[in-house]
Amino acid sequence: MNFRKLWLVARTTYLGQVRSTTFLVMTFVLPLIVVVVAAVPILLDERDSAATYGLVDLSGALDPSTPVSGEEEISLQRYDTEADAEQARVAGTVEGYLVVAADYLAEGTLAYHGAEAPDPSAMEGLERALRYGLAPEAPPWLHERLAEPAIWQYEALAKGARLDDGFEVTLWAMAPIALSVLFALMLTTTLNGIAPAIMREREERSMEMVLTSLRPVELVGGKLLGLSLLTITQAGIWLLAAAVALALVWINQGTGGWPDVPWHVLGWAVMLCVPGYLLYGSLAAGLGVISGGREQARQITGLLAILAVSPIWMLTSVMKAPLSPASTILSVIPTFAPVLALFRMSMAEVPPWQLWLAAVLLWVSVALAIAAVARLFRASALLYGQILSPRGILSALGTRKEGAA
Amino acid sequence: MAAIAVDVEHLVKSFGTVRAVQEVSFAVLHGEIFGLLGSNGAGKTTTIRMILDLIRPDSGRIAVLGGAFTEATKERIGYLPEERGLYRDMKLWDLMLFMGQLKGLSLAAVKERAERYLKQVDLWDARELKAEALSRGMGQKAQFVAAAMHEPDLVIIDEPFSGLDPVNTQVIRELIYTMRARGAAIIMSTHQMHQVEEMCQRILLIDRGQAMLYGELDEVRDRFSTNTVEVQLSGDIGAVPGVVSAERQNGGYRLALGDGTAPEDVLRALVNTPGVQVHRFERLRTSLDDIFVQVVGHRVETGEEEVRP
Repeated sequence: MNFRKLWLVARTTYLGQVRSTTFLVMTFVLPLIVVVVAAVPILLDERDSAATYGLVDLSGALDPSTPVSGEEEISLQRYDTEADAEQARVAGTVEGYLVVAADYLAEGTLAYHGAEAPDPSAMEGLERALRYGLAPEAPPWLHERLAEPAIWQYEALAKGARLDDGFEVTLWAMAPIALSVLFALMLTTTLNGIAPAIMREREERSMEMVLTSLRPVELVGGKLLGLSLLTITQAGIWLLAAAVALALVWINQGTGGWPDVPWHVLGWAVMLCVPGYLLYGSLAAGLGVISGGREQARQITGLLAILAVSPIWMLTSVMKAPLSPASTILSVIPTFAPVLALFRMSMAEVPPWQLWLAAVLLWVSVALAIAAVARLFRASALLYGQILSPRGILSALGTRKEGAA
Repeated sequence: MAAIAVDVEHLVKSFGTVRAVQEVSFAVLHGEIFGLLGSNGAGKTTTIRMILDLIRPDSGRIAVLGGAFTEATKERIGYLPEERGLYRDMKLWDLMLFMGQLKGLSLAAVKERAERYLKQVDLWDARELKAEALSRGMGQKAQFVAAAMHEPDLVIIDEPFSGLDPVNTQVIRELIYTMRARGAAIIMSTHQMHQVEEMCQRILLIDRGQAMLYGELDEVRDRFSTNTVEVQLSGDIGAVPGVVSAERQNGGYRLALGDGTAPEDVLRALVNTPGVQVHRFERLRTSLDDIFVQVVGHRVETGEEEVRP
């Protein structure tokens, strides 16, 4: 294997695609659309949370100077009677109003009147105000505990990391899932481009000339590497955008410092998803070599995309018992490994040897697949646009060099 | 004698029940243009592919550039296949850099060579064009440059002049001559017999996978030539000793000579004939076209397809 030539093919393939309009749109415009679509409801929520609410205290339990504090800013307007509050709601002065029942101290009854339920964070602020109002003379430390009775600390399943915040817990639990979903997404959106890229060699009749300069495995491997690097670039940019978005959320929370990032999950994602992509890419390339045309290749590649997302159907059983023998076996099968192994990582502490086994099997499968595609490619190169017959396919796979089809 | 660049012995290749190449042997020397001839389906492309190690022979031996074909050999070979193709969405310049580097040239070297060769074939101004924007002739020249700019020791060119106008034909021919002068061995497969007559020193004619004619072009032509001369003269030819028949043709005579009669004797007799002035005297040699038709004519007419792997 001449790695210089393989790299040359990969680089040429990469540079030829990375400047294309399709790639630029998919890489930069698509995430922008996703961000805009995701941001609109958040912005609308922001507006809602800043709304004014009415408060009618029929119990007399709340101190008139009760401050209302919480994560969200709430404007609270006191009214003496429900009628006044209702009038204000109808007039649009308040979104709705909270009525502290006369028997609140005995029963704890509250009632909210409004067209829509208030934002949960706004409701949390109102509850804090109630807790504060119950003991207006209490020292500040008691007020703090009344406002926030529990500050949870979580022990992560893996690496014994100490997670201080719900954000970190979510990050650690969701990162493997998000990465496996990203992998499946990248496969389904880019696989159908691989077969045409391989078919291009045949259709543009350049193969015979190129094959006198390098081995088929260098050409096929280089093309797959170039296309994989392209996908990695795209995924990397998307992940970077997601990281920036999460960092903004973290900063917005005002927790301070930086959250613990599950780097080991990212490491395993690279170890599993890169060969996983190469494996599916090889299979797509193989289908491209033996198919009759681009349209047929797209259709067959569509079946491959179904195989790529098929682990999703197994998720229920894997999530129920992530460490069961069935889950373990499924997660080391090369075609399922990237998605299932990462999913298991989000559910349980997966023994490292199982992850290593999945990675090794994946890389071995990639090597075998590329070698097989290279043989098909060589046989196909000599057919002048004809399709390899089933016998020709078997013959090509069975011998190093052959001309018969 | 020049060193042997390609040595083929008893080459055999079958596809299923079809024997594409049968016991073919030949050698190609450094510094020569070797004509590989044959009708469609004769086995030329199969032979070329075996030389290039694209397919394996069933039996026989091939030595290329001094030994068995290796990966290193690829960088010393240039190949222009009959099936032309370029990466359509690549710029010509990028294409040259890619192909040159695949042949082992450094980036600096390939830039220098590509510029020189593109200027030589008048494609320098088109270097920023995508391959799909090139005309057929331009594309063919570009592919020739891609096959030749690493200055290989063995060049195999299949129908190098098809689709080229006379000016571009001359440009490519000059490039081929330059390669020959550098000592490269050139195997040229073509149906254009006049190009072979003009450019090749030796030929191999294959028919139905078998070697029909092999050797020096002049020897082959002599072998097929009849003892005939063509003369342009003024005056009455009369009876010339040794001439069996005289046929008027194109304002002159075609004279069939008897066995054992040397053309020089006839010329001497004509010159010495009173009232006769000889303007042109030429020994007629059978054209390669005629030889080709004689050997494989029936297959050329039926146009049978070549057996391709």
